[in-house]
Amino acid sequence: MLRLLGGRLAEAAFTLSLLSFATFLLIGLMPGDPIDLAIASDPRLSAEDAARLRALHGLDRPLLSRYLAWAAGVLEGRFGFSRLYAKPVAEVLSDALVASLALLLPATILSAVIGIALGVLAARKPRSGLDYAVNLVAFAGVSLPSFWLGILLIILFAVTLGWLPAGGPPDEPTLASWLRHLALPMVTLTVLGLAAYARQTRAAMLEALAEPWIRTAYAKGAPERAVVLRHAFPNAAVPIVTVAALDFATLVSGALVTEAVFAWPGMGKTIYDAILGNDYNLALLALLLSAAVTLAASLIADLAQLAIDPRVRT
Amino acid sequence: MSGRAWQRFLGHRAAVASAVLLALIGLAAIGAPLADRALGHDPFAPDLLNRYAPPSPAHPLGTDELGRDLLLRLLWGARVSLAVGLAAALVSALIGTCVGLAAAWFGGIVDSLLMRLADGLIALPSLPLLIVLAAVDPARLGLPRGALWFDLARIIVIIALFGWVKVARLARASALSILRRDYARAAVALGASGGRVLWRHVAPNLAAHVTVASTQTVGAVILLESVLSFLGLGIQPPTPSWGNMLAGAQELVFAAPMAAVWPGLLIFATVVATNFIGDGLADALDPRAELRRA
Amino acid sequence: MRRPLAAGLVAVALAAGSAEAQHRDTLTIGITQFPSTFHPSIENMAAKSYILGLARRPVTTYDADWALTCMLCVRLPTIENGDAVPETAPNGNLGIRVTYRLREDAIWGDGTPVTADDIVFAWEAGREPLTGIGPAELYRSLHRITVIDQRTFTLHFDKLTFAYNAINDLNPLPARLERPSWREDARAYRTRTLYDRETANPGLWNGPYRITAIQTGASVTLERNPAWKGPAPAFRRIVVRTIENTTALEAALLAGQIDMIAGELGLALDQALALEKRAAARFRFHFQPGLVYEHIDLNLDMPALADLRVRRALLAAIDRQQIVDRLFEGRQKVARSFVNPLDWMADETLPAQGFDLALARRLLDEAGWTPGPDGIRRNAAGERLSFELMTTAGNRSRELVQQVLQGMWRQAGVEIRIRNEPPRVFFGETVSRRRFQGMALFAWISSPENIPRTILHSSEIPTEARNWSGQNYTGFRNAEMDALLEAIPLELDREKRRPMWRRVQEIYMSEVPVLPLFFRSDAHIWPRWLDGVRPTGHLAPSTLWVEQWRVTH
Repeated sequence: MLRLLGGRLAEAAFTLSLLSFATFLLIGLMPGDPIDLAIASDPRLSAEDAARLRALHGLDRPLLSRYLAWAAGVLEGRFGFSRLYAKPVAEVLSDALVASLALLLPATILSAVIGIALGVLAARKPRSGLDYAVNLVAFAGVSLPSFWLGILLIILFAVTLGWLPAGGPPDEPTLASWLRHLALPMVTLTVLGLAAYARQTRAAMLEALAEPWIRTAYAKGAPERAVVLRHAFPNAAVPIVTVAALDFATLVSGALVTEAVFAWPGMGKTIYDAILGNDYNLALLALLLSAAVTLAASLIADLAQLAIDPRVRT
Repeated sequence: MSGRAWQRFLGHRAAVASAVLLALIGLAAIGAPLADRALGHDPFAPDLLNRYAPPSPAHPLGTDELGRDLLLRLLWGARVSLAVGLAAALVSALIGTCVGLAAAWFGGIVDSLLMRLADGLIALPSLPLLIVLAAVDPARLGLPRGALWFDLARIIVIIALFGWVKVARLARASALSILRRDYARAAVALGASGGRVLWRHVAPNLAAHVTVASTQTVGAVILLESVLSFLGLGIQPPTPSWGNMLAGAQELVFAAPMAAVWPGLLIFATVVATNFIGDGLADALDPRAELRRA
Repeated sequence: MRRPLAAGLVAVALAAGSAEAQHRDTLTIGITQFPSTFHPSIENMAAKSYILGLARRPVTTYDADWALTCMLCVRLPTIENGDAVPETAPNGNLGIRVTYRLREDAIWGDGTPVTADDIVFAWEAGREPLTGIGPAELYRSLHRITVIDQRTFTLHFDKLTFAYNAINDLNPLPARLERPSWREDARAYRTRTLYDRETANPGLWNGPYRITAIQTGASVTLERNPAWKGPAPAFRRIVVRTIENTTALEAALLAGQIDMIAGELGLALDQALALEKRAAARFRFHFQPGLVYEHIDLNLDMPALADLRVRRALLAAIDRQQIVDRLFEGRQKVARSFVNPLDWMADETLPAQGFDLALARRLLDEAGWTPGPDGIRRNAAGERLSFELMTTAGNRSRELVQQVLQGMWRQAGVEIRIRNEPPRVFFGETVSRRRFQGMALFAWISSPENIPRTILHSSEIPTEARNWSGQNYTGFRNAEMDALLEAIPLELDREKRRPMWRRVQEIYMSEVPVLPLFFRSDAHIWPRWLDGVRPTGHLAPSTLWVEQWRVTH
């Protein structure tokens, strides 16, 4: 166990440093550094001003030396200053992370619970009407463009019915305000997410239910509920847990479209703005943070696997 | 696919319906120039006097924000969206298969490295990286900027960069299980080259699974293209694609909803169809499907 | 189990929503951007300027009638009233010294008065290269400040132009609060300024409101500034919400989450026009013509475009009026030149090129471009008359205009290849380094009587040697134009400038280095109970006069 942990941590560190360098390079390949943009937008910026500002922001040094300077700073805990938000990067990211988690945790839990339940129900009677219905719902969830669903929900609930706000973070720090503002983006994410859970669960349960010991359990007279829940489900749980962990991790950065439509100031949107705004410090750290979350999630998934399924240990 | 597998596939009603639907859409897409001639419009020429016209005999689905026929643009958009979807899925499948087979055949350190790379890629947040890759300025790498073929190729390449992993895993698992069987070992012992073994024994089995995985990738790619267009990084107008038609119509969604409903509907239908087909194929090719009937 | 809970939540939500609508002491404004910094002098951003208009006043500004006016000063210093006196500058040029007197009631939110020292500090910080405050031209030509008393100071400039008394960009900064951190480390000032570290500090704001809370990327909350001595503003609280997606912004307006949408950074014009058809009962729509000049820069280095006949033909081949009528319901004005018709020096008597397809075809024939088999013209060498038309990706209005223009030019036998790039690429590299192959469609926003020196003077063509600064992207070189651009700023008499401006417009319209398209209108959307908002149409935001906004019933 400890060896596994140690090995994975080492791998994670290696992956993260490689990722940081690759991203630094890629962002460097993106056109228009901030000074170029400043020149284009402000007619009074002269050639000398441009050179001065470049030197000030350190943009006239070669890529590798800038990367090493940045890396050295990070290792010492200096995460730098976000040019876009005029705040230290750590502050921006912690705010964004909290906002993302507030949205993602309930959404993931809901979509997992509903999705798994649907998947189990569908697997009990394959090829039945219920199975097709669940399949359809699951497919629908996976096939809708997320921004489209978001906008449809806004039109229905915010504009036509006027029940819920059209987006944005809560106005007051009250529970009612939070719930009202979370409702629509959460529904969007849940609908999109439960499909994956439903399908995975259905597939995994079908496999588990096809195992010979299930027939044995039935032959022994066990009630169907017990068979499904106590014999089949734990075996199916392993791939489901993997899906859950990865799903949550990708949502951290991948919910960006939903965040954009609902103006929710989360990680996804922060990463997107940082990348396109050429805010090196913020973009790099945000990406590394979400990669770290993903790596941590997959580690947790593996550990959970170990805990649930003794066979995997060998 | 064997006869019995076919039969099982045909028994999956939804999959069959989906296959028919996709075939229809595909044919319509290919026949887009013919449709132009049939309706008598140029889908690329703006007609400012006719913006957002409701459906009529001349324009079966109405017109878009520049007076261009919506039905024709959907067909031309189908070409781009389907082409990107198919190409990206194909390229992912190719790369994934090669990598998976290499890992299975060579084993040892090659296997280890490749699988680490695959794991590493899955661990990364894909959407932000796709954004970074889509926003990179090709001129800095000496590549041409702005040619349509290049935009298409770029989307296909960056999607394939992440898409190959799933196929590689599948290919590797499948290849490993076959290579461990006695007949394969015997073939190797008898002096058959790696290529021959892979081709004659592994590939047929592999093809089925890879096809299943790829069908689902097509749908995912079409969705991804629409997201990239929404973010302004996908196919640029005036080339229509379902994704950019959808993204472009969202601003006036209250005033002219149908211009947005149709591309969204088509994306939805195509992705659902690919998923059903994938499911049908998976069921058809699953050897244990026999057991459930019993 | 879940259903009753959901119903309960919905009931709570409904109740809370209706309660909010009764109070009119809060105004919620929707905009499409969030400022990257709140420091008045760092980085030019429309969102920042809009929000800051509520909370701090500049010394001078242009108002809604496009006239220069005092905000913090008592009266505009002019040569006529003696507050401004020409003098010789240390560099030998003719300069001027201008004396301002700050109003007695100009007070920072913590009760301390706005003094000359605040101006001096702003100047010191701006002048110091390490601080990194952008355009240094103002701070350079202002070579000395003499403080006469707490409220009176004299600025010494080393050049004399007709805009000698407009110091719109010299923002007073609270020296008491900001100077210590600047003195300590000028380089780090940008990261340590209280404007970003402690934006809710009352001492930073001297306007009718002060910023009291910020949710980064989402909203800014402002409350009445108790220290403000001017007319009391109508609202106790103003919340400015940022919603970048314009569809969601529109939905938020219709849902009642925001009360109004700022025209300066709001919906696209055709979106607003469509909304007007549906929601005119609830909202008032005001389309303010402005100084945003949409145009197409032509790269004059390209051989085909170097020929004047081709340029004139390109202009004659497009029906701009039809575009404005069809796409924008006539709410935007076709541009004759870069000079806005609302600007005093606009000369409507000069002949402008309208839509004339026959003329376009004739000119192209004369220039040696004859139609080929596919309708596209070719010259004697067999080259096609084909250009790239580029603009910012994601801007729907521009993309629509591009596609319409493409169709129109095709009628004349010109092939247009559309290629768009995200604004960063477009402005940061393609346009600023003159890499566009033919045409670049974008907009300039300027101030009243703005001298287009950086756009038209031959010394402002961006080159690598000049670090790519300068905005003469077309590469226009005209000696007479250069001379005029140098002479106009120095001419103090407005009537004497008139013929010079006329000549500038004449050259611009006959040489056609740029295809003028139209002047954009901003779409302001106000609730029917709000009155008194006066948009200016130029860079000064309507929020600078927020104390005149009133609730009507």
